[in-house]
Amino acid sequence: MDFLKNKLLTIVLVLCLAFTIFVGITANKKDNTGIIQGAITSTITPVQKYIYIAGQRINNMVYYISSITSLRKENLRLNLEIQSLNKKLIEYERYKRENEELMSLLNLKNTHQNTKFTSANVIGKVGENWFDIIIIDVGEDDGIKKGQYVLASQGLVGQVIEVNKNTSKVLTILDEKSNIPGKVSSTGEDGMVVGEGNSLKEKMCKIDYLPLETKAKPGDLIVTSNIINNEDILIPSDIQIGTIIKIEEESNLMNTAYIKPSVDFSKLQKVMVVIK
Amino acid sequence: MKKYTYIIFISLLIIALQQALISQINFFGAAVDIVFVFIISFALLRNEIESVFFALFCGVIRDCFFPFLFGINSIVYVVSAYILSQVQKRIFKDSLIIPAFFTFIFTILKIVFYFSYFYIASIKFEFRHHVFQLLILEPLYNSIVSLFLYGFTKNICLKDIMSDEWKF
Repeated sequence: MDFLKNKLLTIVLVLCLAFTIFVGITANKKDNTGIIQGAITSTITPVQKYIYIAGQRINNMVYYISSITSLRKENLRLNLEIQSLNKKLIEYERYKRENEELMSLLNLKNTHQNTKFTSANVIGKVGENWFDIIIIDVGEDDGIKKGQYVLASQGLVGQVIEVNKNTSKVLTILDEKSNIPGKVSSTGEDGMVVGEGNSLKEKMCKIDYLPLETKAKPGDLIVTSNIINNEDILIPSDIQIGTIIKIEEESNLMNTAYIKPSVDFSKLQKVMVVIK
Repeated sequence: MKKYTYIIFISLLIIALQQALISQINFFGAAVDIVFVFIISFALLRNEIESVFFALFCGVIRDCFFPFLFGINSIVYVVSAYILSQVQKRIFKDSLIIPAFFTFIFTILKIVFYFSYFYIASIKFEFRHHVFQLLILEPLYNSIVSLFLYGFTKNICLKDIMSDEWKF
């Protein structure tokens, strides 16, 4: 022990140098994976899973108690929404029938058929205050690949960025680094969905590169688009991302629309990964 | 050796708590980092070898979960633990202001350090977007939390298992 005490400064400096080299290597790869890293991750994961579930239970209980007062108001609002949705449903049924008839006339194949999902549990949030990244408990063994989309029941959550043996990291759409092609569902204009960096109240995302003469308006839905093509992974289209809150002109060439995500990221427990 | 097993057990528990629970709770977009607060409290109470070991262990595990880069957390944790363990020999530690003050200062240093490493690794951040959350809110939260965690760490350090044996 005395030897360690005398040489502690040297040891600390050597450690710093070694870790700086590690930072250099991983920064070059843009990917933090490896054997040791995988082994440590898979030992911690089981413990963390149960703590996460317990935390979500407490969270739900608090939410339940705090929401009792607003239940009546919400009930009225939902009833109104059901009425308007019922009207839309009838319309939708008619369009669907028409669409099927026209499709069969044209001999086009239906493209939305064989999408496979793997369900996963969220087990933690990492990346401190810099990144918005969640860990899920499926990995390479379950057929997960880098770049695949992750959905919750309400809409898009994000994209897989790193895959370990039993876990993977998902970059959510709230992060500045996430670039996901999206489109305005009412007008069909394409854009890029990125996270919004500075928001003190509620985290949002925005869609960039909308044309100046865009007809999108607040309240419109933003969905994913399969404008890019990747051989290895399936990029699903028409998955809900969120609704437009406001539209702003950014520079003189394009518009930016701010989106409220349809997924509630504070109460995320079960997600699905789209695999081919 | 028993002592080190105990330290490892505690650090695993704290990391799991941080990643599963604490990082979910954020006010105005900033969350508390209890692992860092623990490392600072620990370095203020124990000798330098134990605190550097604790910091190194926590740092490596947190790095395994960190996206894109491996090593930043370890460097930040080890360096802060070493500096503090050198400082703590020369100061009066009974006041609660001390851990809160050091947590505030070291959290700011940590953030500057992170940002410079991200810059070198060409992970671009708009720093002015994050200034308020990171340079004011996170240090503030951390130092408030450290007021409670310092007492807790003291209790942990008073356990029989942690006591140093006298050598003649």
